Amino acid sequence: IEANGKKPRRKKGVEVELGDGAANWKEGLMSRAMAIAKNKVNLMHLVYGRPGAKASQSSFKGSQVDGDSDESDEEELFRIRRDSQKGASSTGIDGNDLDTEDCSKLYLDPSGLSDWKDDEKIESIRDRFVTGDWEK
Amino acid sequence: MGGGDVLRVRGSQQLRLRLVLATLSGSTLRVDDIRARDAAPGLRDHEASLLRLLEKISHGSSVEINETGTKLKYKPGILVGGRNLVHDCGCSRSIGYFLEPLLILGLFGKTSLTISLKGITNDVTDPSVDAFRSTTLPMLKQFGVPTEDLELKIITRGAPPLGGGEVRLKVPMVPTSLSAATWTDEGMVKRIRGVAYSTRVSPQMANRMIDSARGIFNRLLPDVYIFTDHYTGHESGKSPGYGISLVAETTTGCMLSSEKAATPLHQEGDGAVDADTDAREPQLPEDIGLQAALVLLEEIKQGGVVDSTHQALLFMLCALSAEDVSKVRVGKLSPYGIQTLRLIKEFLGVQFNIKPDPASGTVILTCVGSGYKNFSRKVS
Repeated sequence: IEANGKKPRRKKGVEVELGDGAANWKEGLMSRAMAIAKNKVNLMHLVYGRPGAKASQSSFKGSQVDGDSDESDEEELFRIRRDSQKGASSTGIDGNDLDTEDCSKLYLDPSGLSDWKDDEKIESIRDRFVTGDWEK
Repeated sequence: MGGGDVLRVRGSQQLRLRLVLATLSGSTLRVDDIRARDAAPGLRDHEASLLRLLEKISHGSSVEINETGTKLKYKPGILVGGRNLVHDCGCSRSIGYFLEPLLILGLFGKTSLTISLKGITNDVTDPSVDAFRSTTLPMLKQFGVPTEDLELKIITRGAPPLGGGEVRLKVPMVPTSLSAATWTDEGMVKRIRGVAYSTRVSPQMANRMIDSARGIFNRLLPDVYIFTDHYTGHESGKSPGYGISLVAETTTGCMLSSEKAATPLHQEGDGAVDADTDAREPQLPEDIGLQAALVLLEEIKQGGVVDSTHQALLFMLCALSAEDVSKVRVGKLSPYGIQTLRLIKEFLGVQFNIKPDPASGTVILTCVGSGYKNFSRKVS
């Protein structure tokens, strides 16, 4: 799911503490920025389309417009349709492909999987297990 | 039941849920342009088989398909369920493809449903019968369906390409309607269970898959147990195959599943596409075990009360429950889940309120159920 170019709406005021820790505001800057970046995507708009915009609303219903008729190859009677099996992206959120495979199982590319043998990665999900910190 | 209104959609995407929603809402469904631009246009074998299955469990439904199979008109009848039904699912998709819609429809039948499904029990594209048994069926408990009456029994295994497996599904009907669920506490993973099956190959394959999967989990959790399930003789179907299905159970009773199966060893048909899948998919049992384990960790990391595969079913159950607020938490929304949310709005008029939860990186969905009642029962 990618952000569809929306500017961050909420910008929380950065608390600056004066005194010896003048550079304190830098702490957690990354995590705050990440939190803002995550809020950037309005999921309601992503799923149901923007209330005003008709275009995205109709796109998922599949108003596919093929621009292949006005090419200047009238002498050719038969043309091979592009192979929808190969060109189609498997995601199908944007509704460009009317015939997305009807399959609930999400295919994760094995090469895209994280390397879970790494110690840091293992520790990062430790708290999702009963062996981790129960307070979190 | 309502009726009269015709819902027009295009393309073969989400055909299963469209048929389910059309059946439940009692409206006629008209699908145009089914793979109209494909080299092989029209309905596929499994889709035709699904339509036959719908006719089996309902009275008075009618299906019209045009010559090329690119247009379909489905007029739903009354769901009756039935006992000792038998359906041959064919070999183009696995039984998991049929179980998902059947489960929802079975709940709203006139009587409970008992059906034998024959075909492929485990493959790479669809959820396997093992995951269905370990993960999908317990989900229904949250919506007030007694799990004792739900049952999926694996009688024989069938690996692709020839299948030959058989399962028996029992779904109770819901007396009035599903209850709304507040299901946001995902808890912590307390145990990992799994099944490694092997059929018509050396039983050692299962042990090899288990060893590599365990190697990943052992650093996180001691309570890991994966069963071996080896089939011989007439129980082993027509093709050799092996695979593994894992499920993580949390302290609050949520189930997260992942699975991996070997691609058919002897691919039939032409080389181009098959060679491609062969290159992509692992064949060594060690790789299959390892990948299933890694996918499960990804699912656990994402959080949510169900895994990415079960999002669609979860949203459907929320939307079909009584007129009360349901609140659920999922990890990252899957493309199929998003499509389902759109379909639900289109067919049932239920819109979810979707809010990200930045603290845990999950998504919280809230909706008011459509208050769908089991009409089939009322009629009787």
